[in-house]
Amino acid sequence: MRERILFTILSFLSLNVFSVSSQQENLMELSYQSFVYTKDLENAYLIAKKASKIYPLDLQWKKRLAQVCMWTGRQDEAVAIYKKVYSIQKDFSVISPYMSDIKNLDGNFYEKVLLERIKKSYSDEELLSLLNLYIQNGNKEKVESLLSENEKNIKDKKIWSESAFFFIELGNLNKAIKLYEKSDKPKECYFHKRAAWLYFASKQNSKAIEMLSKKIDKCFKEEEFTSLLIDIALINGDLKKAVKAINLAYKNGNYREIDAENLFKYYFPSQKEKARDIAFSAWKKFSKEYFFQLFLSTFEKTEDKLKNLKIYFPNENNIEDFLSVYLENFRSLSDKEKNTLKETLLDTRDEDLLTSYFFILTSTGTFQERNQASSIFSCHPKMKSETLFALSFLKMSLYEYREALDCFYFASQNKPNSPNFFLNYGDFLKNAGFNTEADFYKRLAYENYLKNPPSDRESLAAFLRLSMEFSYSNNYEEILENYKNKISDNDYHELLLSFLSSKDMPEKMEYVMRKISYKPEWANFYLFTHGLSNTEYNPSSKIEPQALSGFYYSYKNKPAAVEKAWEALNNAPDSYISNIWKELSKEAYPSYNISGEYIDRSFAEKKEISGNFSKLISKKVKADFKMTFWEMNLLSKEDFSQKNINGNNLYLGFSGNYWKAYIGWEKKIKDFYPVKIELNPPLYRAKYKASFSLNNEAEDTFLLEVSGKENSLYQEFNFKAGSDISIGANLLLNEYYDQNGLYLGKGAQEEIYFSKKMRFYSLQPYLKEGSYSSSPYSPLASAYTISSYNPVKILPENFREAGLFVFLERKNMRAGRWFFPITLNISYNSSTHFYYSTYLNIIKETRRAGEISLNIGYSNGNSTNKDNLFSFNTSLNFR
Amino acid sequence: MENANKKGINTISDFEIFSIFIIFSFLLYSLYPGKKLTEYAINEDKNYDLTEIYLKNIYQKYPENVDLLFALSNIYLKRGKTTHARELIQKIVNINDTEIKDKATLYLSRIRLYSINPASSNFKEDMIYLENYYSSEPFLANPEKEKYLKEYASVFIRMGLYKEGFESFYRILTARERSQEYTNMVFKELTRIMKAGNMLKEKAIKLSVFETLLSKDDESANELIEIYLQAGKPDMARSYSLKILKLKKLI
Repeated sequence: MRERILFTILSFLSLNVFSVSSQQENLMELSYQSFVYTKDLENAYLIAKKASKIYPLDLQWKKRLAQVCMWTGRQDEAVAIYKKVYSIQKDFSVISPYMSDIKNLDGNFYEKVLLERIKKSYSDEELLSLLNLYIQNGNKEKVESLLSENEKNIKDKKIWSESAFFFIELGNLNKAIKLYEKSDKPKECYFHKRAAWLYFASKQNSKAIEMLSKKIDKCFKEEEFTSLLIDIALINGDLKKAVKAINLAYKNGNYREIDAENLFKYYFPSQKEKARDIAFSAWKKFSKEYFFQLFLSTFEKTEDKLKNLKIYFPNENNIEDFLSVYLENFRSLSDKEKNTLKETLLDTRDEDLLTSYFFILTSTGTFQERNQASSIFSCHPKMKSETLFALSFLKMSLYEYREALDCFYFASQNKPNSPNFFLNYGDFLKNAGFNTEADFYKRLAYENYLKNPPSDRESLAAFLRLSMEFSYSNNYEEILENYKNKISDNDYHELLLSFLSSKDMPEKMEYVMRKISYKPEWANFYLFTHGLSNTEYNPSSKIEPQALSGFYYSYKNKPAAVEKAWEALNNAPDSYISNIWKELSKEAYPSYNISGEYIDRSFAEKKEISGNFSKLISKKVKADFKMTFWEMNLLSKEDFSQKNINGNNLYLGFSGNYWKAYIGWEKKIKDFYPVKIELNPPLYRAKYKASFSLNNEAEDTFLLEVSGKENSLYQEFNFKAGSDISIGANLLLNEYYDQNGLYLGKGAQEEIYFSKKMRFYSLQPYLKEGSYSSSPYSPLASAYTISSYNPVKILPENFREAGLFVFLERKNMRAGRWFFPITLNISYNSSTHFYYSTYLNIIKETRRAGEISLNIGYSNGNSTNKDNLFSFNTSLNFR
Repeated sequence: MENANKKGINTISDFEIFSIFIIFSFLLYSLYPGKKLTEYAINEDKNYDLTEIYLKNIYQKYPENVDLLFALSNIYLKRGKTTHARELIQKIVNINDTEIKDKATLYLSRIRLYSINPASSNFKEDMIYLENYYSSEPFLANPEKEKYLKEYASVFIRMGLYKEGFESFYRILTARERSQEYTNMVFKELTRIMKAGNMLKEKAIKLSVFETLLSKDDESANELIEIYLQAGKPDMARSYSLKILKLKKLI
């Protein structure tokens, strides 16, 4: 009974105690929840800590405390609790959700737990976690031992791949490859690329290429992959693999500039089309001018380039840019190219390009080119102002003033009543030669300016310029001074100098010029022409040499003109070397010539070599010295008395502006001394030339050269009927002597001709007549004949001849280019019947008025001897 | 066995048959309820239809047994036969015995409880009567008050009158001071109605007036915190938790 009572009491007490305890715990749990829900984590932490203390055996509270520790940044405390919980419970599930935290906070505990787990109940997941820990710590030995210990258990192939990537990053290539082979081979491209890089770094290029080549078909979309293969293959000289890789990259569009360039170079020699596509794609991708140039280089002809530009870039706005490139190089384009360019411009109808085209034509185009363009394009009010201006200048250059004025008017239509327009229009009219209209419009501009005084600096300067012309004011200098601060300094000085020059005050101008920094060229020239070149200011040093050359030339100071021309020639770019400077230089500067000639006739061959030196010896006189050596072989089949003969001659000549004179020594079978005087006085639109020679070598026949001499009088008159047409006539009177001076006879040759110059050739039809009369002593001619060549003709026979010369050549020759003028002569001669000759010249003119030339000629029959002649001549001129 | 008789072999002796009869007679006598039958019937709380028949028969035999009358009346209530129950109780209302009178009053109140009808014009009057009765001294003195209070709440829940039930219990709880025990009981039933009627979110805030009242009882305090949490009012739960924890010096 006592035990029963005791049991009852104890039961009651325990129930009560547990009930209280249960409610308290419940309260704490609910409070914890409410704190967590309201993010009152500090109170949550306090209550969890309290509860953990009150209920030390309750692991749930410990977990809660650990969790709230995590939340409140008490990681160390959390991990300590987790460790405690795990040590009590040995239940991995308790800490498994927090393993990532534990890993971060206590790697050793994390490692210990995982090692226990792997040993106790192996799982790939845990092994992978531990492996990742070792990989993260870079612990190679632990990774290796972990893998070797658990090799048989591993089912997840990711473990092998993770390890493979770990080892490859460490540079342990062999180990990495072995492990990778066991894996399910993820990130193949990356792995192979990395492996190849390691091979490459260890100078095993072949292995690197092999590694990359295996996967190139799969990985070609990765730029780094293909680039690596391309680079290593190129370094290793494995062109085939490099090209394959570049091709793949190219198809995929992930190629680099260097790849495109290499691929282009590879295909360029053999597959131009492909190379072109590559260059085109690369240009599209990289927008580099270089690829555009490569693209163009696949076309051999410029017209192909232009045509294909239209095909390849049908919608490209910048086709204008491409055409601009051609326009910039207009001077060096061939005629065909120019034509294609013109057609392309017509197709595009781009007015900006047309504007450039018109300006270029105006400044550099030939008459025909300008004429052609002018006939195609006419002005229209809807055209852009700039285009209209350009076209008006083009038309003006062709003296088509009416149309040019229309163009100008249309161009200025936007502001027809502005004084600026009137001024420009006036200037234009003045240039066009309409002085009255020009004055009218300029005055209109001036009046407009007076009504509405201009405010901007440029218009104000224009107004002041007009004031100078129209205000008739004596105090212009003062007016100008008043506006000094309102216009630019340069405009002010220019106007002041203009005013002073208009009042003919060169000394004051010189004073002003010395003070100012802006020195207009014209003012310098003005001072110079007014004899102020040797003053303190010395304007001549500031004038361009070509201008001075022109000045000196016009004032007959030829040496000074030559000196300046030479200076200009040396300083100016090729394209700006004018013919005047060249001619001046040719005339006045010492020049040297070496030439050789070979002539083959039906019966003899002749070789000749000569040297020439010329120099200006005074202001107006130039001296010439020439020396020649020659040798002639008479062909054995003919019955000649001598097999060969040689000789030499010396000439000393003098020349002025309109005359030439020389004396010579000719050493042939017998010496003789020719003298020659030549006159060519200047005439308006005409040329006259007269020459008189004594004891000259006979020119008419080959044999006379060696057997006779002649005195001659020659006169030629040439009248220029237009820019391209001339008519001329000449008369040659000869007296023939043998070598002992015995008079043999006389003769006269008259010729009349007409010459027409076309763009590429000139035509010159002519009529010629020769009449000779022998002296009664002619048969007694004591010629030292060297042959019995039959027929021997001491004097030419009477003849009449009609013929045509055709000169195929360009009008303007420029330095640095080869030219091939050809001369053709066909004629009918009453004495020798049909005659023709042809000469091909190959000429290259050098920059400093030098020349290299080759001449090849062939003729059949001439007026006095009917035989064949082949000649070859080469000459080198230099200064 | 027939084969055995034919051969004349005895399978059981006469003594053995007698002994078995004696044992079974003793067992039947000892197990037969006898006078306990009435007690069983009164306390039977299942099989109301059978119990009703059984009690009716016993009551007819023993009409003076008040316990039987109350039991039968209870069965009538459970079966919704409020008129029958009232008739029975009316029989003893005038008996001059305080205990019986109080019990009769309780039963009459219960009959009124089971008869409430929100559609009837007397509903409001009934509610006032019931609230007064369940707050009255005689009811508070009833040792089974927890059971009847639970019944009071259950009727509302069964009829789906959650709002009315909540209001009624809320009024009882706020009416006047009473013992902590009774307060806890009422609060418990109040929360039961709230949970049944899914009114936690809507009404939880109204319970804040009882925070101090309930803080003296751990279970009720916990219940209130839990309601706050369930009602999605963690801030209220937090502040009340802090209050209780400080009171208990747990924080």
